[in-house]
Amino acid sequence: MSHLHLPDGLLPLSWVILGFVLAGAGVAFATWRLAGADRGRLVPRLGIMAALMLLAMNLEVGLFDYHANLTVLAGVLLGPAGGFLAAFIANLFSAFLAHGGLTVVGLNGVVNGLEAAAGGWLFGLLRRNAHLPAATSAVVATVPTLALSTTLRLWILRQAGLFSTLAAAEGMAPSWLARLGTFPRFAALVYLFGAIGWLIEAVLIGGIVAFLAKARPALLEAGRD
Amino acid sequence: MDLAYLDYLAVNATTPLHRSTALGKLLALAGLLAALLFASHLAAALVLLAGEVAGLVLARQPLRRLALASTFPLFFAGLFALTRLASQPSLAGLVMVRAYASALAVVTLLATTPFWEIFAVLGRLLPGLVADAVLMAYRAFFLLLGRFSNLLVTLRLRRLSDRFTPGSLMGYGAVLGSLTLSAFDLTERQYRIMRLRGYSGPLAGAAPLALAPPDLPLFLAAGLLAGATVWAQLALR
Repeated sequence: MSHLHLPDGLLPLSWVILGFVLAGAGVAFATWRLAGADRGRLVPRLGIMAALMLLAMNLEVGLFDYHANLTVLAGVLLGPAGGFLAAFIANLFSAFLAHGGLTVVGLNGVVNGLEAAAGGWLFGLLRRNAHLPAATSAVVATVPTLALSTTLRLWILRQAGLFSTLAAAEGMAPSWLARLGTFPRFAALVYLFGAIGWLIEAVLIGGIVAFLAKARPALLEAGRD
Repeated sequence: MDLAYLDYLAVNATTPLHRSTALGKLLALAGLLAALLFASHLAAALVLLAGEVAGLVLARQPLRRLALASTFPLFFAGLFALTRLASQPSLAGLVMVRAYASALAVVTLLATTPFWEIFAVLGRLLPGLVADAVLMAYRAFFLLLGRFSNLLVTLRLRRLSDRFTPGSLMGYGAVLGSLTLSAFDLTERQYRIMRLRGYSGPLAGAAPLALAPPDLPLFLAAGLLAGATVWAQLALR
């Protein structure tokens, strides 16, 4: 579950508005943080990273049709603020490809943006303080970041009321559906399959960072904003 | 979704919808989405979907290709619909119809409007830095698409896609790493070009935001459709 794959019409209007307000605040803050950066260098990097993330979403890995996301890689290569913006742009694009509804762009932008920012920040922290190799830092940064963002998504799904109907209807549903339908069980399933996904993404990003550390180590230092 | 095909249609096809402005089509899309969100009855949402299909036929759009390209959200909507199927079948149907109708509207926008025109309008709402990066992302996506397809072939030839081990994942990582490296080399080239041209922003938003006469039939059709949906919803309440 790399982002909220919600089509239009499921999310309540108040959450749609909240998502866009939060995304707007996040984009404004990230833009302010990058105000002193060389715009001629930053614009192509943001665009390329967003395009890479979109392409990676088409790369299915493993048994359960997981697709890569690369949000943490965006944070590693562009820094927390740049990673946030790249993730927001990738989400905006993917909504126009019907990969998640237009009304979910705000919330997805916030969640994936925070994922990129937190991953980039944690990667930098591990590199500076724990002096771990770049690939190890990337793997270690990815797992807790994705665990946190999954928790945030579950919290949004619950708070937005997408499970209240299920709970009310539990008595009327077939038993197997009711078992699947309660929120704690749904959350347990998401964490179970999510944990496999976090590990896949972590090893994948570790592989990319290991390659870049050998081929172009300067790229891994460029994202310190 | 075959984005390259939709992009080809957007740039090369000449249908009545292609003559409308990007701003007009985005406003019509917003109106249809608002009507769809207002429709909390399955029949009302079906009115809108039927109207969209009829509109696409009248506007000489390749209905079969667009209809197929719009099926992507059905899987995720289906997960939610499934959990409601036993207790509230009409709600399950509403979820599916809303997802499909909104995707069809978005896919139609993509098939009739070049991306840069859409983002030139959206660029008015975004900070200059983000608007420029969005245009750059669009360009980069197609530049990298061919390389990405070649890398997928490489993965298959090295049989990495057949296995599911940490070693094969690291192999995936190395392949994606080489794509990342060549992508960042592209950014350096782009940087030098932008420096040479004295870039200080913005790339986007140069086109004026204006409507044109071909938007009128589009607004009439969208207004009629949204009105019929709202009427159906109020009548069924």
